Amino acid sequence: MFTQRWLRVSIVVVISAALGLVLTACSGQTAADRQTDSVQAATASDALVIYTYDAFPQSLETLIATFFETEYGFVPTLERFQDTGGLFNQTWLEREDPRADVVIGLDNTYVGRALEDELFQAYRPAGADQLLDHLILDPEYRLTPFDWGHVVLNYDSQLLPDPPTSWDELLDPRLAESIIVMNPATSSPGRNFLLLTIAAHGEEGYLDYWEQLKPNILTVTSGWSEGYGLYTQGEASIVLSYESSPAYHLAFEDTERYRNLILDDMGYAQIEVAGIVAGARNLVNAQRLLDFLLSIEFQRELPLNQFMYPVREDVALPEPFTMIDTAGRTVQVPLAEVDQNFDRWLAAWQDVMR
Amino acid sequence: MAGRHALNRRFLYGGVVLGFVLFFVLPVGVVYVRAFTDTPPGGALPVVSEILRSSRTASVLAFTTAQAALSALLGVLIALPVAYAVSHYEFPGRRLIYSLSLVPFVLPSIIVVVCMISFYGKSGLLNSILGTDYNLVYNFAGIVIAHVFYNFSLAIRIIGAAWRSIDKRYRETAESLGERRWGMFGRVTLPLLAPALCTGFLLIFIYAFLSFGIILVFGGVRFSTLETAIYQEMFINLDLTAAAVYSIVQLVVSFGFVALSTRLIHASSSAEIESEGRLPRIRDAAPAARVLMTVYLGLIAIFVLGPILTMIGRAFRDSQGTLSLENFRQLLVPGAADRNIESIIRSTVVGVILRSIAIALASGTLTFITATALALSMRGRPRTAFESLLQLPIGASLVTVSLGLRLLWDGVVPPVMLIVIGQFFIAFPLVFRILRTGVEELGEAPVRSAQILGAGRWALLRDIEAPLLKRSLFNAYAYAVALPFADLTVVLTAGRARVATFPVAIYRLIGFRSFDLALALATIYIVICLVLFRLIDATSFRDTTA
Repeated sequence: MFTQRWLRVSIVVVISAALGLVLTACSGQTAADRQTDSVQAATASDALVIYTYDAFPQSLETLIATFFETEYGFVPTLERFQDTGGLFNQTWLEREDPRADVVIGLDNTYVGRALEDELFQAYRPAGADQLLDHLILDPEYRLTPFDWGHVVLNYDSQLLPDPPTSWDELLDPRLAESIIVMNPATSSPGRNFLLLTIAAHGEEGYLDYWEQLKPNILTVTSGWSEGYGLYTQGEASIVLSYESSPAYHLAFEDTERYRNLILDDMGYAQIEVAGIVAGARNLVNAQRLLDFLLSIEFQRELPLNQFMYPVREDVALPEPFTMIDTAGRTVQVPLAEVDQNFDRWLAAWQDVMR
Repeated sequence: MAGRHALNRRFLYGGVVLGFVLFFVLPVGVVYVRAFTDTPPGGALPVVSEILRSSRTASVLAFTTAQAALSALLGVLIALPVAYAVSHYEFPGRRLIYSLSLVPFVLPSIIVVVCMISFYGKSGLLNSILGTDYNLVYNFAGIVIAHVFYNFSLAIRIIGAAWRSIDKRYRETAESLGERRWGMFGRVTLPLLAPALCTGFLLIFIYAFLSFGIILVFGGVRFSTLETAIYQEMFINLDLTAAAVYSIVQLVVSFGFVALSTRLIHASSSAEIESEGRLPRIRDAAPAARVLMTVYLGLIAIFVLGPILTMIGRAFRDSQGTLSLENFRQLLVPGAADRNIESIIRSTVVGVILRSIAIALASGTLTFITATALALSMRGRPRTAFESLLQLPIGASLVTVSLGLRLLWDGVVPPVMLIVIGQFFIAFPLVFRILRTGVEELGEAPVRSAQILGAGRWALLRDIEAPLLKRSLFNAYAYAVALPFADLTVVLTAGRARVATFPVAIYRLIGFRSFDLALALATIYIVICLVLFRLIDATSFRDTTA
């Protein structure tokens, strides 16, 4: 009896294993994957290898693919990495013998290090004349901005009908344990918000401010996704996020519940850049891609696909974006100053927050 | 005969060693070599010693150890009564508890976090029932509660199995010698149970020691484990040297604990076979014991089920908070949502389900077959250094292994195969350990007798070993399939984000602010896990009670 039962069980195990392997083999060859299978062949003149992060919208990838297919008769290879850190890390590890031609999606946080390590080569794309001046982080165009947004606080109007409007009001004891921010050591918005407080309160004042703000902070999460998730679950009434987040909820959930909380009219500029890798094998196609990223055709798709702003001054924002509050003052700490001081600022901040 | 077996064993060991070298040792080595050659002039040594002596290293190590020890202690204490009930009595829901307790263990950490906050959070169910707003989760306590919730099923399974076999063997003897209940517990059961208790403690300790996702949310600025420190150095600070140093510290410390627990497991092995029989029903227990057990099991059900059910409850609410299937409709019906779900996940939901099951079965079966073959071939042999080395992957930072696999094998081995291989190393140490213990408990006697009667290797496996070992085999297979199911790191890093599995899809939905849809997908995931475990556990239970 045992024998039969065991036989039956072992047949199930073997069949499920076989099924698993077959399905695995199939699932490795979905349509989306097939186009990325040609990494080795990607050195011909009709090739282009792009690196980006996992969350880069599929719709924008399709836009790029369609552009190259119609204009030049091939589809570029697009590789995704877990997050911006993973993207930078891979580019950096391959710097002696790069496989990517273009990297899309590094932000302010990584620009200084990327330029210092000479990972990218200069190219001034067509359309650079239309760029908003304050977004140009590198005057030599080794890294070119392709979208940007304000890092600001958001609030849940259902939990907090009467939001603060200034840095001082944010310290109000009625807001005890109701703010979620991200760790500047691990998150780009977190880092930019720390810089915003430094810009607003000065290098002498920012630590005092955080000291006073501390009782109002519920938790410091390591990434934006986790923090924003807690916020939409109703755990806190205020969260650190992007100015475009309320537009997202308007566009897809048709709700005005989530709104921007802009303190003294300030927002910190988070800028996403693209660049041609130093030693890229497909230089011409890489330059074509940079041109395309700055074209009106691509730029006008950014707001509703990436929920970031266009970098061109001649592309207007579409519908839900015109309905949200925005920061009147774009704040930035100069890149050189950040590179020189950030570690010190961060360490002092960590001492206060521990 | 014996000569051929030795030869087979040599082939098996050779194959396993080759696999470990190619897909574990070399990839990790590649990362370390990169890390220690990319240092400033003057060499790696001064940099490394500076990192080792820094106060940050000391505080990270201290926190990692302290929270793991506390989580393990609480986990074992909480699991002990459950293990007793499950191993001594038959009662409605007994099998469900057994299967259900495994669910948290395989949840992606972001979902564990959501479960925790929807139950224990500031606006969670517990606070709203009590009418309070206690901050239970965003601190040290939250981390420990989450780890206990995550891991205590390990202790239930290990302690439950041991307790059962102890009682069978010694209870009658002790009772006939006039021992009373508590006297017997203190003098007989506890000492015999000690190895299982220690094993349960050490396993929870190790998993909490390696914790990553929980710390990312509840750790705040104050708390980081070695694994989160590795991630931060590698991908944020871009300091590969520091990442490698932390990763080696983690490997050494956790390997020390693994080696310790391996020793204990062998101390616990015995020569007697567990003969199966029907368990008494809980109704037949003494009234006081019955009430106590019922109350306690109820509390545990709340502890495990509460967070999961509250999370599922949220999945069934729309953005206005009314009960509805809207989230599932948007997820499953193409074109039902304003946003394009398929382009966010970069796969269909059905594709995600099939692919996840396929990959988990493939990697689970690979792990299971390898571990079974090794465990059987080691029967009756003393513990060797080789065996300890097989446990090494448990302490290796997953981030490091995945990055190494990608650096070394990308373009040579297809992404799906790399994922299966990477996930092999997640589950192998635990699966091998369960089987090795099972085989040792079985002892040599039945196999010897069969061999004397002339049974061949296959007949031996089919007629003697498999039926006697089935509990261990099924338990091992459950973990072999379950652990890869929950993996995010290997899929995203080694698999270059090309293959969308459950955790990847959940993570992508959250990244696109579609939290409610992520909850709906997580609900589907939990249901599939439960069905899978029930299938595996049910098969094992049916056989044991037949």
